[in-house]
Amino acid sequence: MSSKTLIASAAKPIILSILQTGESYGYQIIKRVRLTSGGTLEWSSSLLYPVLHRLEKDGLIQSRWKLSEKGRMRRNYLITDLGRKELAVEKERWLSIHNVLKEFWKTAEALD
Amino acid sequence: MEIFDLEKAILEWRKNLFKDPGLEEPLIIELEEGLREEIEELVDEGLSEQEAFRRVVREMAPPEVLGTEFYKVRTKRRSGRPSWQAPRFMPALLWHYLKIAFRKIKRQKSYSFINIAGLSVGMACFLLILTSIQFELSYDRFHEKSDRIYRVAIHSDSPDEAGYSISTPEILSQSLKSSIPEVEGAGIIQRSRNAIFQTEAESLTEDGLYTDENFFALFSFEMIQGNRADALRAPNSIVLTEQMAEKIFGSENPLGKSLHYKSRFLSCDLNVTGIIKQPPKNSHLKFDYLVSTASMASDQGLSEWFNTWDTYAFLTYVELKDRQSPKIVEQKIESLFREARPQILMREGAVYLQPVTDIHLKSQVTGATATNNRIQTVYLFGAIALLILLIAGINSMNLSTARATTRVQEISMRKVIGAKRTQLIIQFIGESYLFTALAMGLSLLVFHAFFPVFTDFLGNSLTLSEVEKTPLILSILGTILFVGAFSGIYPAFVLSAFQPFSLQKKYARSPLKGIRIRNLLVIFQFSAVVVLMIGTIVIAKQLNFIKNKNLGYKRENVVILPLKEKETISQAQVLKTRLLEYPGILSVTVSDSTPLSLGASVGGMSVKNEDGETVKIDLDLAGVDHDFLNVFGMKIAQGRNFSREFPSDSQGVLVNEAYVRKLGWKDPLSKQFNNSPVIGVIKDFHFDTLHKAIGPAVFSLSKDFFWGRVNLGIRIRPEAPENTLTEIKKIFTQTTTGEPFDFYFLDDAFNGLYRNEQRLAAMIGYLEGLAIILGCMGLFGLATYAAQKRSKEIGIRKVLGASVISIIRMLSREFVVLVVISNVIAWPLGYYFLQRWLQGYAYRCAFGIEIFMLAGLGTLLIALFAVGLHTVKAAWSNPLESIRYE
Repeated sequence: MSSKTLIASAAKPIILSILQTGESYGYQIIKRVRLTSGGTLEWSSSLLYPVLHRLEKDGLIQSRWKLSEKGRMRRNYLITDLGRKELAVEKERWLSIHNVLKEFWKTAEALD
Repeated sequence: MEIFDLEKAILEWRKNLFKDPGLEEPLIIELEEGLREEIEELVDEGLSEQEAFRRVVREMAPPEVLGTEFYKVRTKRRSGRPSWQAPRFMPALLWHYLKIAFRKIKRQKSYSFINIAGLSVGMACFLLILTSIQFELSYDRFHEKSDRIYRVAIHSDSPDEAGYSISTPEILSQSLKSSIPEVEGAGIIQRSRNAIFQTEAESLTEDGLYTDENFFALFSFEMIQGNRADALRAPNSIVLTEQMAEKIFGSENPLGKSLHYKSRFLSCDLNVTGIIKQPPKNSHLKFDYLVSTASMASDQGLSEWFNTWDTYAFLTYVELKDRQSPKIVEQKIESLFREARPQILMREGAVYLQPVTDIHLKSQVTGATATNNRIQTVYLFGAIALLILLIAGINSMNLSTARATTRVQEISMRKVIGAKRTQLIIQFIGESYLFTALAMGLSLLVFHAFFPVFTDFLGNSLTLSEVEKTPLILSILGTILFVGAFSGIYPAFVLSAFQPFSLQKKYARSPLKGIRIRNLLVIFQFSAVVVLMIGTIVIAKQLNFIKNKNLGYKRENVVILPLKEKETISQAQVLKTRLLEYPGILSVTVSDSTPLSLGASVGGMSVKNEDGETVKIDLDLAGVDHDFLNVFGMKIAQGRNFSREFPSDSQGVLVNEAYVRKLGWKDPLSKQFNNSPVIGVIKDFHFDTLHKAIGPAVFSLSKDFFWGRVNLGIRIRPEAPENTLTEIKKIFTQTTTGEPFDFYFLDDAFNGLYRNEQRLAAMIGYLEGLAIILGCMGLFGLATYAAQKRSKEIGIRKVLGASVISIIRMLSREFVVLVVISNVIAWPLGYYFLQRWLQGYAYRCAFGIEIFMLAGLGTLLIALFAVGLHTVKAAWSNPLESIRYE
């Protein structure tokens, strides 16, 4: 399965992509990753929260405290303009790598 | 059952997170919110609150990991390590550890001395034994083709003996090469013992080999001068070792020189055709010179040994082609014999190709070319070496855990300041390695000092420069690695497990587990000591038994004079007559035998038993004269000795009682051996070591002795043997033409037979001493510990009126119990090993429970002595001193 460093480096574009569709908070992000990946990606809180904080520090996202339905304080995250730009760059990077790999594997399959 | 309260659990969890400086309140609130939501979800799925909480918390990283991760987000430090966490590597701390370790050594001199001395002696001993084992195992591996060279051995045909003979006909090696395709080469060898080399100045007696031109193709002995392929081809060629050449020719170039050679078989001039290096000490072939077998073939008397399948006079060595199985060649050799001599008596599968590298340790053949060792002895030494090392390691282990009391404060302080357990473990294992390394330094000195003594003692006279360096260095490093870890890990875990706040008070009760393990170790040590002690006693007893056993002959005051040259042998009767004229000499016999070794052993001889049936037996044949029994003091059981009054005795034989028993003869004097009438029966005497039962032997009056071996046996008066010897020498040199005067005393030779046993006994004795010393050191350490630990208890007991004796008794009881348990374990083990060792003797001493009692009592006394010093000190101490505290 996915190696640790790959998961870590994919965290940034994934979080940004999720937040692009709207405001979200920690546990929801974890759940959406789990759902979208069909259970193959399982993030722990020790992975997610530090990354969220780092993104916020870098100005790619911002947070605000809100009351949840249950009446507890919850920290919600939103994407910033800088974050959107960064996501576009990230998207390009990941797609180019994706395409290169796809081409290689296509020729490899043809050779098989 | 306690009811699970989620809120309380979350509160605890939150408190726990607050412990880490990296986690601040907003972070914790955020984490808690996520935690709660996940728990709620799981509860909705049907889990209980408790289970849900447990699962979520389990999947979350521990607080310090979370804290570090969050800290990394905020910090500007490149390593990202929070300032409150210890760095992974602290050079300053390393120096500090070293300083502390050396300070400990300095402050606790006696402890450090015991620890380091014990370890170094143990390791030195281990290394010495390891080196000698390595040497034993390296035999004959220096030959390039060592994995392909075999020696031909043939199983003797008789049903009695399970032995192999390595004598083969000369023609075999030729047929091997010409008719077995798997064979690459083959060569023959015969021993040349005590040959005499006449030089201008003196005559030298040296041992060497007869061999052929294939010798250097098979074996990788290094040649300095001469041609490897041809040096031994021509008749009358001889190749000398460097030392021998120097002895004979000095600094002159020996090549092409001629020298005169005299042996039992051959007397001729030889040309030096080559010079070789001295054979390595780990060669089973030992020689100072090589004479070409062609020289024998061209001798009139000896040529009949060649080109025949009937004379088994040589050893045959075979080199197989790469990857050929010896099994197939063995069968082919067998069929060679059967083709050449269809009537040959040889059992199926009688031929055995013995790998050359097996010869030294696994030879089970008779008539071998060198004294071989036994693989069992090597295993035994290896086991003892390991035992010593373990005992030394256990000591160090015990001493350092016992010393823990003195380090309580240090450990507490370290923990309070923030040392982690892993750091403490590393520190203590490091200390153990420091001790081991210091001890190794010392042990190398010991190793160096004792190496010559040790090898001399083992009889292999190996020098340090001949030891292969790579395995030695590897074993040194391996020993440090093993001993350091072995003696360090347990104390490290015990010491680092102390809890700083409960430490000082709880310690009075001490961790029970530690004591149990230490006790087990002491039991192990003392069991080893007891087994070794039983071994020492029984071996000594057996040696004593051998020394005092009535062997059926008198070995004192007998001089044996082996005659080596043909000319001298022809003068034997003259010598005898002249010797008898000297009053210091009582009697003289000319024979091919001594009581230690009869003329020849014959396997599978056909003889007739009581019912006149032909049976095959192994027996010894001796060619003697009328005075043989008289000189050596054997007794006649039936009939009479050979007598000069009966000229017909020259046709008759004497047999021993074992022979009569073997064939079930009822009236031996009416029987015949090979058509020779039996005229008397000799009382059984031991003509072999006590390892073997007395076998059948036949004695005849003989003029041509077996293998040309002739001895004079001279019984002298016990008074002034020096004068008698001078006289014998004078008569000898007057009568013979230049043969060196060489003699030995029969009882010296007898003692030589048991040199291996004596060595083994001495060796085990020394190791036993070592094990005892080491074991006592361990006990000494433990006693110190126990006395310290209970000093308050002792003080209170004394105040309340306990006597010194009762306190000594109380303190010793624990150790006495350990020693008793060790004995219980060691006795059956010792019994088993000794039973097996004694089985090697056909005649053995009886040993009973008293030996075990003796060993038990011995260890108990030694243990009490080791424990005593501290115990007595503790018991005598002023109670005020120990209770005053607090």
